[in-house]
Amino acid sequence: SPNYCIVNSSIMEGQLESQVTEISQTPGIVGVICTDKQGLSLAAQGTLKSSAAGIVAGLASQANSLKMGTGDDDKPTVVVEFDTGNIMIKSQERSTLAVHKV
Amino acid sequence: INSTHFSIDLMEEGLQSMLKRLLPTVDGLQCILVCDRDGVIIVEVHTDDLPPAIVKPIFMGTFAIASEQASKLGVGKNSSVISYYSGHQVIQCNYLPLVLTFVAKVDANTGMLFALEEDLRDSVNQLRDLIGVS
Repeated sequence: SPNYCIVNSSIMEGQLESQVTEISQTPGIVGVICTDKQGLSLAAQGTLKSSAAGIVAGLASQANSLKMGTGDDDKPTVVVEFDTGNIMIKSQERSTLAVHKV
Repeated sequence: INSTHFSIDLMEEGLQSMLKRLLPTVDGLQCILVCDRDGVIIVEVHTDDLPPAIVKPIFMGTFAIASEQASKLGVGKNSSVISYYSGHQVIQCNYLPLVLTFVAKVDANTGMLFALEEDLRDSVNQLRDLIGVS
């Protein structure tokens, strides 16, 4: 049966929360976190707790400092591999998103 | 009395060298210090580019008051205060009567500094227990 999620869109972070919830309901995804550039958690669900925000943002920024991209917009995707699954981290201009997939 | 003094020295030296080791692990981190509620510094490490005005009791001493007030907001005990200034950020963590403080550049990764605080938690708690009474 389909998963339903009730989202309170009248709260400030409602739209972000609903996007993160939608991602975390994808089969195989067990954790999602969205952080800002300062490493503070904007939204976190599942196995990725808000305490992981600093490290997620730090990994993304360190990888970006390799400066292998073609320009400012070309930021690398960091993949952390475990035996049990992967965590994929991607930065945009003002935020970083990480997803834990098993 | 002598043996307590000796073990405090050992503990301080251990903590100091641990802080020195951890200082370069976060980009932009300039200072880690432990002080008491009045701003008297117990252990401190800093990089060369730290403005000296920051490490002063009048700056450090305000946290204890602010934290006690913040704990009265009705949502529980205040654990930390982050202050962003134009050039720096200061993160102060409540281990009253001790205060653990990080000073970093304003664009440093605040979340990583909190992860660092977790690493230091046990040591600072041990120091607080050694010092004893609140």
